[in-house]
Amino acid sequence: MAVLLLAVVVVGIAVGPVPLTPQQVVRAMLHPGGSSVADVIVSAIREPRVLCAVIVGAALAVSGAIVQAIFKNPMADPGIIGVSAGGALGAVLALALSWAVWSPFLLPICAFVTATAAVFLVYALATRQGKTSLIGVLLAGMVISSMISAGVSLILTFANNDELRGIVFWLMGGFSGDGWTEVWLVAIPVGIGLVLTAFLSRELDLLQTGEESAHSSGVRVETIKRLLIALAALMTGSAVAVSGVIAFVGLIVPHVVRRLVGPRHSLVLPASALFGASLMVAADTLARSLIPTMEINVGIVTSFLGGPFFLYLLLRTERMKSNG
Amino acid sequence: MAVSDPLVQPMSSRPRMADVELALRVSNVSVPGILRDVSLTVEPGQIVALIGPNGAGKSTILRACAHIHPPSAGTIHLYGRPLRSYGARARARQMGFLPQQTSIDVPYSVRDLVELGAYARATHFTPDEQERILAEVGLTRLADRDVRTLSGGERQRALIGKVLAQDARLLLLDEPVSGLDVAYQWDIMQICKSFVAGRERSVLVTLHDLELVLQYADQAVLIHAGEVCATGHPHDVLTSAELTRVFGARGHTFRDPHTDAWRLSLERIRG
Repeated sequence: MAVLLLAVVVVGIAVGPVPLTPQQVVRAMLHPGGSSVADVIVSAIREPRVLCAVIVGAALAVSGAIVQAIFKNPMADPGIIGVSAGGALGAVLALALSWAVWSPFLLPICAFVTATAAVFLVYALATRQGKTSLIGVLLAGMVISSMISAGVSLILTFANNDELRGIVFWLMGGFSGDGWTEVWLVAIPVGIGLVLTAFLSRELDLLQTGEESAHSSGVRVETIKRLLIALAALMTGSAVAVSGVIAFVGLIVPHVVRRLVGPRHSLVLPASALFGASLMVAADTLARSLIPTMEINVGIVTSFLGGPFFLYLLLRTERMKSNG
Repeated sequence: MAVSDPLVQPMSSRPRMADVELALRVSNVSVPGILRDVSLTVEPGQIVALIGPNGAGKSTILRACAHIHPPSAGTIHLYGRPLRSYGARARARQMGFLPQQTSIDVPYSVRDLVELGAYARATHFTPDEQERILAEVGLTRLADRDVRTLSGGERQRALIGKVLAQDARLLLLDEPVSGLDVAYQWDIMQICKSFVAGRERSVLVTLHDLELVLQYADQAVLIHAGEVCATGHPHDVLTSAELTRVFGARGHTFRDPHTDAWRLSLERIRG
């Protein structure tokens, strides 16, 4: 899978308005600081963008794996904890109020702050006497998300035309214009998130058998749940802050990965990260190259492909269940 | 309930084992609306059966002991220390709990499930140990099968394997045999029997089949409407007036002339 990722990355960097050969790409990547046109394109534009896609893809996929394990539900998407909606609100606010003029950091930070706040709110609503009810999280997530969506729509009604276009584009999700600053902005929180989550592989394995079953085997269920939700929020929040709301990656990747490598998280987590990264780069590459002069937002690509694919997965599962 | 009833002796008049020798000591535990002033003990080497009608509170007692729903009043001591003083892993090293309905929706194999149970284990879980447990629950041949494809009894045995992997001294089993074929019921009770044999380990189990209680348990605790009605040897409890009052049937125990096993017959009492 790592090989796949590498291949996809190289192709991703190669494709674009100025076509490059794989050799040029590899040479530019291995020799940073070169000054040929190819080198500049690669290092200044393509590489950071693709790297962003890699990190965001991994973040969304692993967050999806976490959420699906905790909720014992293969239909769960990281957004159910409210983080995507929260992030959207922050970003939309920043765009509508044109805060981005102050600093390129402001938008991602704003989005991240509101994303974390949303998860906090959801968590607070769902927790009674130290116990976090999963159904409570689902319900609170739904409520908060819809209220935030309403808020976003409200902001849209007041925005002027320029802002409107910018906001809608951001909401559709994409990596255009992502440079090295964005890479560092995501790399650090997502890196931390991935490493910490990897340490919790066995706890995730046990949580999948049920909270009581995990508790009886000695897992500190409430603490671990809290930690895992926080990690998923951290990773997804960072991803959303930098690239908008990209649907389906967090939902589909863990699903597919589990079919390929089995249910143990010691395999599922790294495989999800790699596969999610590859998928994201592939989707972004597609988004850039489908229409020759324009760029379609990545979110559109993932939704278009993700929706039917997910339906196919669902139908296959139903058929297997009724046959088995 | 007369105070002189030999089956319900006040705790103070019974010869008191030192706390550290008891596997489990439940003292005056109450859960609002469900349990009232419940006390019982489990000694090392014993299989203690909780019996009583549905809704009597048997599961609640077990879950309080498993530290899932701590009681609002009373204390529970596990091997001499208060239950709540144990950290999660330390508790799992002493005590394993098998909940009533565990549905596994994940394609774990039996082997996977058993290996997961070793999470909190104090000693390293060797492949030999894993094979030993698989053999003990009779699933060696099915070890690599997806647990979702197993029959009810096989899946239950896999879950018991998971609990056994914890290497705990005390097992709490919530209705481990309900709804299973007779053969599976015997299998699981036999596993309990081997578990406690000679080795200072204990089992606290809720059972509906009173004959299994007679054949396998060392102590029976009759629960009704959240209270302990009778405690003692199964022969005594099952033939007691308390049992008749609770179940509306008089119990008679006898040796089966064909198999020499202990049998229970229940005579329905009207009125």
